[in-house]
Amino acid sequence: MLDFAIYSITIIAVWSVLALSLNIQFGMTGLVNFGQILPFALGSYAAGISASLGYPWWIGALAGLIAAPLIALLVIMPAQRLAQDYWALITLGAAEIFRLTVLNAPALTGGADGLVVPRFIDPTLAMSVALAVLAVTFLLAQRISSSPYGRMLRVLREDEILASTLGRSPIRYQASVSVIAWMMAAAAGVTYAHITGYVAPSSFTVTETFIIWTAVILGGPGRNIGVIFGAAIIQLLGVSSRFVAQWIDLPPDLIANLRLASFGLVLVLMFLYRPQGLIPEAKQVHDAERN
Amino acid sequence: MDILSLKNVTAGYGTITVLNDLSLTLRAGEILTILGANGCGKSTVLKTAMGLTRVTGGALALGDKSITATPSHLRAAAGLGYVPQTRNVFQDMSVIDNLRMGGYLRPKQFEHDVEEVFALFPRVKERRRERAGNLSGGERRMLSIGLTLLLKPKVLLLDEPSSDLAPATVDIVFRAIQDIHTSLSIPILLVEQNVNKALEIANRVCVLVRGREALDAPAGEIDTRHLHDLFMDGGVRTS
Repeated sequence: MLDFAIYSITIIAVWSVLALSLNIQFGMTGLVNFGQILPFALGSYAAGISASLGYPWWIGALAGLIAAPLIALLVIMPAQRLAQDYWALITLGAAEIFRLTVLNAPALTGGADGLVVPRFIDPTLAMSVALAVLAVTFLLAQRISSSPYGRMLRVLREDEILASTLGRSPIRYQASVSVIAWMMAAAAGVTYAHITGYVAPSSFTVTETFIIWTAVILGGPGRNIGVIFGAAIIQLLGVSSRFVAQWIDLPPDLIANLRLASFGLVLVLMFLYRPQGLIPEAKQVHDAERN
Repeated sequence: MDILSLKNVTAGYGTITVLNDLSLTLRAGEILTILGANGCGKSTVLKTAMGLTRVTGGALALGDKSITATPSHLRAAAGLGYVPQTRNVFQDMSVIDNLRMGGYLRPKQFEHDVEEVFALFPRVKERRRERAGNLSGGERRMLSIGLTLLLKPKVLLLDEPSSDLAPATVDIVFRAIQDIHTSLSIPILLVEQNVNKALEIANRVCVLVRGREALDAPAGEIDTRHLHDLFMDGGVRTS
């Protein structure tokens, strides 16, 4: 039972980092990124490839943290000329392009079989590392949220065109926030690779992106503590469904699909009844009262 | 002196062309009003000036500097102050925070400049702690003009400042526009549906028909019957 708790906390921490990384893009800035699994995959594969080439872990971590912002800028380049809606399509496409490339380049990536990564032997160590990455990410996200920079991100979310007519360059903020968010997700990816000891394309599908989205929508877009709460609920729902499978004796693949269906149901219910999330964002008006 | 000029501009949204080979000049010290029927491209002129449309031909200049390819935020920095017809305030932010957004390019002068806006619109000062989304239509219009003034624009582009307002509020807003024009001596490009109000304060009037200029004349010389014809059938006199 203790092992299970440690495993759950580890997984929740990793997905919380992902949720935070989506939150500063979507929750704070309004960028619809339907490919947030891509930087996560970049981090994981950086760890996997560098391990397979015999480099120490920190080379992989460094490679992941450098690759993610570079790819972020590459993906954003075409998006800056397009309306917000197209960010969703471009990011979704980019993530799939990466997954399919990895699948079809077995020499470097192991193809569908994936790569073996040295894993943390001690689960407590794995949990501690995951929690440390989460702590750093959370503090950074909180710092952004309360800074003038964060206020500007919210302004862009509210009205990009009005902001630009008042002298702001939206793309500069959108690009910088994406770079930060993608580095967060890459750090989660590196950590995840060393926790599971294995990276394969099947871990980085569109479904995974939408699990991150479900956590953000459930927890409260724009609120850092909220999306961690959301990630925790979603992951606990995920791991606990295995017990349910044992109790009621249903085939495991049916349970896996039911789990996804339940995430979909969570999304629909949230949009209908509580679009602001379980722990909603504090509104800007209160800031003015302080002055 | 020409402050803002459009030369043979063709512009629109996506594949739709709204302005056809339009030439238009705003001169120093004047209020130029653009009139026209619905859908003739009045608002598009302002959006094009601000860089919010797709320009496929012609050239735009602010003073003697070309701004044809300048992005919106640099046009704002160069002195274009644009007040959109709708979506002109940040609804979820307080009034004072909205004003701060307007003062983004001049943070040091904000405390001083904001008093000028409050002097012009005392109502905005009274409501400064309120959420902008809770303001009445008139208060919101005043706020939107006020936050644009904090940019210290060289030119003011006003998109239908009278729309959706009660007649009494329209008077307040138009008096303020005239105040801005005389006390700050900013030339104004005004788009209006309220022809009588617009003719009262304009120096010059330009009438658009289907994205082209159909008439350009001093406001005093406008014959409202001719305007009626232009609005109704694009200027083909039937009498």
